[in-house]
Amino acid sequence: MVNNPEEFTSHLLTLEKIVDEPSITIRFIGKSNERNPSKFIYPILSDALDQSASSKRDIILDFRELEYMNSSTITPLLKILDRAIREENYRITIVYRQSLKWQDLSFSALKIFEAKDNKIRISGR
Amino acid sequence: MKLEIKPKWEDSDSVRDKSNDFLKAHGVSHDIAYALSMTACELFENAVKYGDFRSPDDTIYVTVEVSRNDIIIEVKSPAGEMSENLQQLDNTIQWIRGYQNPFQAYVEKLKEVSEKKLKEGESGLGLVRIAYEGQALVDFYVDENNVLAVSAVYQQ
Repeated sequence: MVNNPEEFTSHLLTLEKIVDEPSITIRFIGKSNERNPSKFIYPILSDALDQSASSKRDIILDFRELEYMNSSTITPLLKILDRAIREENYRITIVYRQSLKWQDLSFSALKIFEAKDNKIRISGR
Repeated sequence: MKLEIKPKWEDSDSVRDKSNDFLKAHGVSHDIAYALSMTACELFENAVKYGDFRSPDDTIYVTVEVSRNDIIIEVKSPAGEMSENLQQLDNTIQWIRGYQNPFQAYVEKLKEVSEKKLKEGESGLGLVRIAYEGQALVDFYVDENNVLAVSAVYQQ
């Protein structure tokens, strides 16, 4: 079952949350260049993480439609990955567009957080 | 390209767009123009965050120069009494230079940030991202008028 997407927008960035049977997908769309993007992004990701644990769904963070992010945008992603590593019941896949050089550089570096138990996967497509 | 801009965060997008357009107009490839306009944007954002803006006339100067051998991005802002920030800037630049490969510095910083508490508006990733994704050497000086100039140099 696929529910209607929920949309959250702050300035030039939209997060679209899609809950379906095996997973909860958060799509990042547009540009993230606010001074403190964590304030907008972290609560949405954190709620999705809680929801994923209670409903036994995986989380997919899809950045393929993200046009730009400043370095402060990386912080809430790192905090979510750290939480997933430290706590049980979370599985996160980060999906990025490998053909975009900046996405490949930014997101492939996150492979350092990939775990043997597949709790975190970084996938260029 | 020379831009004279008020220290308003919302202008960072315009800095990036103008830098990108300028670089592409000077024959710089899409990927490098993207990485270096990100660099201009990160340096501008740092200037807005840490600049000592006391008068409404205080501005940030962004310069992008393309030459045969290199591309230089320089951002100037009032330094004021920011000795602690300058020390931090110096420490960060020296720390990045301590790594043979900026990728190693970047992943070390990713690990460090992931374990730290969320601090408002600060990631500490900007300069190391410039070194890694922008493939640029970062440096700075403070001139006789107490203006801080931070530069990123990309070797063509």
